[in-house]
Amino acid sequence: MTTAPQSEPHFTDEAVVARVLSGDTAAFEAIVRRWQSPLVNLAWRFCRDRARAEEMAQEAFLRAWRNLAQFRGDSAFSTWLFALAANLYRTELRRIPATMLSLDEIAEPPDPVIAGAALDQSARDESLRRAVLALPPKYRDAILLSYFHEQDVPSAARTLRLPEGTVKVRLFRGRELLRSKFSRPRSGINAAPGSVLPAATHPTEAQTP
Amino acid sequence: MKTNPIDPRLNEADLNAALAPDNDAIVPSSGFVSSVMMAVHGEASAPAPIAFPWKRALPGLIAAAILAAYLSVSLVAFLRSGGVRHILFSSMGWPAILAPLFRHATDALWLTVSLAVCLASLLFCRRLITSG
Repeated sequence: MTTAPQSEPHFTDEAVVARVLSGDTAAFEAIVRRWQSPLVNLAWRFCRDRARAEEMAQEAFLRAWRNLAQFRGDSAFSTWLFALAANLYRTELRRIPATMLSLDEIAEPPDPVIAGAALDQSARDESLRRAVLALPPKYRDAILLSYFHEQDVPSAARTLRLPEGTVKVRLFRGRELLRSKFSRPRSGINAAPGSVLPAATHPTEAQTP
Repeated sequence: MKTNPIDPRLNEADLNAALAPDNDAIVPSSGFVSSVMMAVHGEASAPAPIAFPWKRALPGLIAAAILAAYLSVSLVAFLRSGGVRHILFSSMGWPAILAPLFRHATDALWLTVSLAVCLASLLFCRRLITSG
């Protein structure tokens, strides 16, 4: 997801940035083509609305173009671009939330014991994705960015501009919240919360910088 | 790790499958790039925003700072002199509070002049902005 799917082999991002900064506005199109899919998909994860995702991604590209001079090349261009985009998307979500549902209002997964049917995997997945959006923002962001970066915590931490330890803790707690929502014991099932969790350490945010 | 289909509880595999990038991706619409570039070109061709005329505003800002300092010093002097106590415990009520403000005609005159200068500077700034 975070790799450039439409890369242009002749120009690196840094070279294109240099051209844009020297006045070649049209050169910015190479950056848009290269990074449109990751930025639209990141926005999609934050809002789950295609039209809004494209609007937010467009605004992210515009903001990148305006602030291109601030890119100093200390990190990869993609790191800078994702951090800028994620920051914008989070601000947009504070302004207009993606969902008005609370975590408790997310549809429960069907009860297979009562219904006697297999779980509808796609419906459950969609419920899960929407449940992520209903999490408190700091847990939501950690989960969204972690999975966007294919569970690469250091990349997610760079995008969120947070220490890795903090992201790990938020990721853990966010997952715990999701499990507590989707693991509620139903009638006839005495499922202890967290009983299906794999062995995992319980990091605390206080221990992280 | 395969999810148990009769286990309603969420496990790691469920979560990973639901949130994996490959399972939750959309393709940007065909006009997305042109839309972004149109917006970029629009911004590039737009005139640069007018910078605030700090040089021209400097005398006014200095005058305002001096006035603020003068008023602060006057207020402190007034409070130290016990003027507030005099006003609050005066039997004459609110007219007595307002009376010191208009005791001297020259003060009122300066007040009027300062307001007129503020208005003039505001109109001048507006004219500068609208004339480009």
